[in-house]
Amino acid sequence: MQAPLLAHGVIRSLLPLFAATLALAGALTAMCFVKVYGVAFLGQVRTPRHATHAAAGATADCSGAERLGMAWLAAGCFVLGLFPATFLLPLNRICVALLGSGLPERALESSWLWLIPTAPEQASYSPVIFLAVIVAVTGITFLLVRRFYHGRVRHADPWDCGYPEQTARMQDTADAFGQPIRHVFGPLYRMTRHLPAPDDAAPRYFLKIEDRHWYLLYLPIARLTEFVSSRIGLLQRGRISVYLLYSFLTLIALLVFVR
Amino acid sequence: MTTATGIAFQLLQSIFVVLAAPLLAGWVNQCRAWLQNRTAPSLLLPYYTLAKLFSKDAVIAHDASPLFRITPYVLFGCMWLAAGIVPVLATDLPFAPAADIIALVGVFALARVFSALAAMDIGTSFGGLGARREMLIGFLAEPAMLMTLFTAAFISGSTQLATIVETLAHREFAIHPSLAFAAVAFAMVLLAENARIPIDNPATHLELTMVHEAMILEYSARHLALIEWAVAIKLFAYFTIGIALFMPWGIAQAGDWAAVPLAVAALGAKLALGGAALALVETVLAKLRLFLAPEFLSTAFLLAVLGMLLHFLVRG
Repeated sequence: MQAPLLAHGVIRSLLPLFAATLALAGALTAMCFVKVYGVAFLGQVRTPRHATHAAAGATADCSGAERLGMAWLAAGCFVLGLFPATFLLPLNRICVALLGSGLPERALESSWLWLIPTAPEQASYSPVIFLAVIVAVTGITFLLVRRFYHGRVRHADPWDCGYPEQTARMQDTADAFGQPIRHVFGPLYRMTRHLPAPDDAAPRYFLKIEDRHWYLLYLPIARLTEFVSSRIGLLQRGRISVYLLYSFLTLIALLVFVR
Repeated sequence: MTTATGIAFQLLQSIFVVLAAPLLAGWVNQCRAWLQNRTAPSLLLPYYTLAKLFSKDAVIAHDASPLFRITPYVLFGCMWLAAGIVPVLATDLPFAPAADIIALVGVFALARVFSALAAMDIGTSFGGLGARREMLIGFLAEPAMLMTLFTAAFISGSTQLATIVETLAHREFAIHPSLAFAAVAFAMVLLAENARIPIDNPATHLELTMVHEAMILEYSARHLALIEWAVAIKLFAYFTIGIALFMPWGIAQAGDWAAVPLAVAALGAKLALGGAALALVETVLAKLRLFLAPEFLSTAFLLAVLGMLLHFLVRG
């Protein structure tokens, strides 16, 4: 929103693009979370319960203390998201102390309830009200449906599309979930994939995804550095007499120049 | 304007959107039927469907977790909330400052995450398939959507939807070429986000190409009714966002009760036009292959970017 203040036109018009990139990153993160949570915690049990116990051996569900260790970090994120201004205003003081300038005057009107990045009429956001309304609205919907309609529920097998032999192994895996991403961003990555043929005696699925930049950018630099250092290393791999010779030659060269 | 009238307006508008949303869905279906030379179903058919679904017994798979049962309510709540943010009948609503356009996009993303998780919950092949396709379309459509909204935000200098509409509706008449680009991009995003042709076919069922329908395959009765209703509200909300950004004439000021009938009439006319246009688009276009969806949506994104660049060029 502050882009018009920037002096340089190119940077000014690039700024929204960065915002859109951030949005893309955000949406990809959401997909990532859905994938991790969906594959790890939802769906049918992939291995029978007794097999899991046998394989897991001594491992058990984590204890309360272990959960607490994770929970307080998650709670920190939650609180940070719910009261952003409370944490941003002290940070602004540091910014003022270091750089001499901070948030605009009007933005300091932010309180624990309201986050105001620039000025109230430009943009404002209240996570607490937002959360309260979303919870309230969902709750009201639930109560209304419960009040006016019955809560009867029957349990049945999931719909099998005419193929009752489905097993838990046929549900989506993490690899399957990422397939569209691989397809869309395929050119950006270096992929080696081996799909087993239908008549393979020992079918084996193999997929390796690497970063193209690693081969195009970093590896050449690494090789160049290695080459240069190995050449320089030739000079250094000597005996004391050779080093003395270097000193002698340097002295002579210096004498020639000083003359 | 006192706070009380503001809140009354806010409540009235939210309830109006929730109640009127199935009507729009019915209108689009009717137009589609006419264009395809079929006998059109009743305009009120979506209401009958909802009533029928609500009175049935819910059938739930054995493996369903509580998440599966909560999701319809969350979806409905998210869409209801979105209907509260968008200025449909009036601007300057009391809830509007709590959430701007970025939060609005966030609400839609939240709904998407929940529906994808619920789809994966049962563990059938269709659920996972629908979930990953929906997330694919989601992450492609979201940046395009934000870019369109940003273009409007730059013109009005605010990310508050109410302020944007206020600026655009009450400015002296000026043609913004950037808004034209943004409008086309927005229309494309609308098609994708609401599971319409050419990205998804809302009328399809039990086909391998389905996206949205694959996710809600396991739902029945009141849960399905809530989801269908939420989908209708989502379509309505997208239409009203489009109307608010690109043709906001006739919208009322909050507290101005006298202007409400005019606002309702204007909205009705615009929605009737928009719905007919949607039906026309769906009739003349064929569904794209799934992996052409990125091309479709990156075109939308590029159009939105061009619109924004035009804004900077024209403004200097």
